[in-house]
Amino acid sequence: MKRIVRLTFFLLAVLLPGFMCAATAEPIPEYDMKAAYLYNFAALTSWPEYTGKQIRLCVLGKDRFKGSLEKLAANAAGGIRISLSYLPNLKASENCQMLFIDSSEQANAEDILQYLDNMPVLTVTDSPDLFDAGVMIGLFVENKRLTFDVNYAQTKNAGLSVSSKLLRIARRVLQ
Amino acid sequence: MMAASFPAVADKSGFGGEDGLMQAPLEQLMAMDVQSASKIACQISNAPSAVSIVTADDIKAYGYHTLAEILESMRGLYISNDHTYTFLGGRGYGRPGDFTGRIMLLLDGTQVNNNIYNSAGLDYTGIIDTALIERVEYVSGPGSAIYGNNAFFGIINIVTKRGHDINGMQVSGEVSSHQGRDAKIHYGKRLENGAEVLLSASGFNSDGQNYYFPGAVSATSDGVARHLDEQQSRRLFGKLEWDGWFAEVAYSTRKKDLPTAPFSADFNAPYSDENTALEANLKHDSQLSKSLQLSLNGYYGNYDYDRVATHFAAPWKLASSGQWLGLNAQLIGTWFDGHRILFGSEFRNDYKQEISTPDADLDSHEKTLSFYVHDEISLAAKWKLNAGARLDYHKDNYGDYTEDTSPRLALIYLPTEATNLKLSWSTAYRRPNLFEQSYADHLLLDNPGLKSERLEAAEFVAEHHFDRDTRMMASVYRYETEDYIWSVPLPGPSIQSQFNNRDGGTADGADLEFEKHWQNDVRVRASAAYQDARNAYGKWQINSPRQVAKLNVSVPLMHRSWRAVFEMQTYGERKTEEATVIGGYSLANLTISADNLLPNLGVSFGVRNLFDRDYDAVAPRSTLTKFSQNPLTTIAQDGRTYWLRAVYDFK
Repeated sequence: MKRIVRLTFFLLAVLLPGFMCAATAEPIPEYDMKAAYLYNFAALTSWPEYTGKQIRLCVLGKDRFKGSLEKLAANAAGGIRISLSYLPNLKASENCQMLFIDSSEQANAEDILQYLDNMPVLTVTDSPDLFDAGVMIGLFVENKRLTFDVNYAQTKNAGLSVSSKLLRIARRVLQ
Repeated sequence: MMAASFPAVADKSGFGGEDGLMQAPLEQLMAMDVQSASKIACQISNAPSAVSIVTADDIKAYGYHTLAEILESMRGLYISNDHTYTFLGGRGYGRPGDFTGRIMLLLDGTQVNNNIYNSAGLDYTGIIDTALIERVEYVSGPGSAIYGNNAFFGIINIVTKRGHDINGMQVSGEVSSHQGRDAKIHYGKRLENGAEVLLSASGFNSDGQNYYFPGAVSATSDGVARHLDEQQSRRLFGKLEWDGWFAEVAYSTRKKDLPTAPFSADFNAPYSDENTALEANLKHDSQLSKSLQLSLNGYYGNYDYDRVATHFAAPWKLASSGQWLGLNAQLIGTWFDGHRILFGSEFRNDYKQEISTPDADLDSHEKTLSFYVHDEISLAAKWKLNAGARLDYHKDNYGDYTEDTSPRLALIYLPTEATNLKLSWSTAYRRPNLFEQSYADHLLLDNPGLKSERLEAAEFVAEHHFDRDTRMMASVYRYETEDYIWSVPLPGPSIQSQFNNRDGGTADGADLEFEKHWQNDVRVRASAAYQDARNAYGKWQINSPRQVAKLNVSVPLMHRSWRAVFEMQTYGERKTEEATVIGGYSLANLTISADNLLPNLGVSFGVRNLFDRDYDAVAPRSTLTKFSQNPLTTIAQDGRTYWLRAVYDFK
């Protein structure tokens, strides 16, 4: 009996204080947002000699998305379908339409860009160094918002056509 | 048990709620705030106390071999080594012989401390290879409000890597001073269906050194323990994660010769200890409804310890063995606005607890049923209250019941997005273990009347992020123990000692921690800790340095293909078991590594104790007895040592 009384008391003490407060709107985690941007980039790009609805998105380097890309791939509601692969090395990038290069690959920037030279692969990174080295799209957090820069010259060289909308809302376009 | 499952469940809400995110046009997304992913690791344990973290990046850059080396780099922690075991010290604890020092060690949320001595391996006895660790979180302070018995002075939560983090097959080999050889093979993959697989096997052998103990010099001995430092460890690990399911098995075994002849064994005679641990864990997380998450976890543990010593020129054997099974169910509900309620219940059956020696056979078992409830209440926009408790019903070997309640209360204030202040009051307890209560031999008397020890702590923590990648934390605390379990020498001519409930002691202290990650990938971690730990008589606690400071600097070289890291640790003076005082010391370690020296080949080279400093650790009481005329109160530590490691990735 004593034990039950104690347990009841214990539960009440813990559960009773009831305050009604509105939860504040949480900002979107950075990599969830980056995943959503990648989806948009795929939708606003056309690849030469490729008209499929399935876009293969590859990730090179450390995976910081922690599962948000999988959710992108699982979502079939939109106009395009994303299939996902994590590349063990660059040679596996042949069937990718899009390639996200993590900052952990910075040391290999030259090799990567040399290898991809003029291949019709839309390259995206969130490393300033990699973008400066010639990656097509750079994603950057600025004043709590996610912005992006486009290296238009590189997309043209690779034969990709990115929509004018994308170029219009980019923070910076390198001609 | 739960630390890992708790946040894992919580994470699910992150992206799921924003399914609209992908449909939203880019212009709209560009107007939404994002929560920057900091390069500094954020705590995942839901604890309102001070938390320090070391991640896989640091483990790799510094080349940490053991959990002890990882912990040694953390705020306020210190390590004592007697050439066989590694003992941990920190806020309010640190007596050598206490092993993990009443700290609960969790592997992916499941407790790995054994049910005979409450210890868990920190050196090569550790259950997990450091190459498989994604992060280590040290939560200082009482943790019984969630974890129950033995989460006394804190918890250490080890989170392992996922298969994807290895992404292929990796082999590594290492050579180190004193004929150390290490070999590892890991395989990890994320499969097409999203399942993650991780498999690993590793081994370490070392011949060791011949140690000289001045106190052991006698008519028949020159004081050198010869060929008594050999070590051999083997580890296996497997983990599978798929669609809310999580299965893991970890196994480790280590055999080590003992040069110090503890427990009055013959000096320079065969003496070996073998520790074997196995942990298996099956977990399932599910979202029952929009506001209710369920996490179920079943676990099994096995521990074996075998000692072969030499007493009076004859072999003397001791064997301990423990087994346990448990089930933990946890519900997280967000039905009510402003409340996040965690309700948990756990059943644990320690059905095997045995110690056998030529003179005695102990055979025990116990069962524990627990309930815990915690509510995180949003009081106002910037205030949160965290209240909860855990209730443990315990049935011992004789069918007697005891119950323990461990409450915790915390008030959290978030004046700005970058600052949080936490004021907490928390409690913990630890039941005497089989060894302390029932074991007896020529050196130790049993004490069936031994009671649980208790701890109450008050702590204030202030944490501030100067920018996304700069963090500073400061904390002040006071700990008070009661009925502290402590081995005391029996009065009179007896050489026996006995575990007793002593009047409690106190520990007052303050910590400071700073962490910064620059754009150019320079990383710095620094900390300073001060503590004043006293026993019930106001005397300074054994092996409790008042000052502990750490500096860790990691610098990329040559376009980030190389990295140099330097760590420096400084410890104040300490008191030995014989109340003598030994001086403080500073230790420096240096590691240089290259990620891609050749394609897919990484190489690292490290020097420990770079300046070859002579320093001593406080010896555990067990080593004193042999040399009673000239007690061994300190143990000289290794001078400069070297290691060289190569890691090859098959891709």
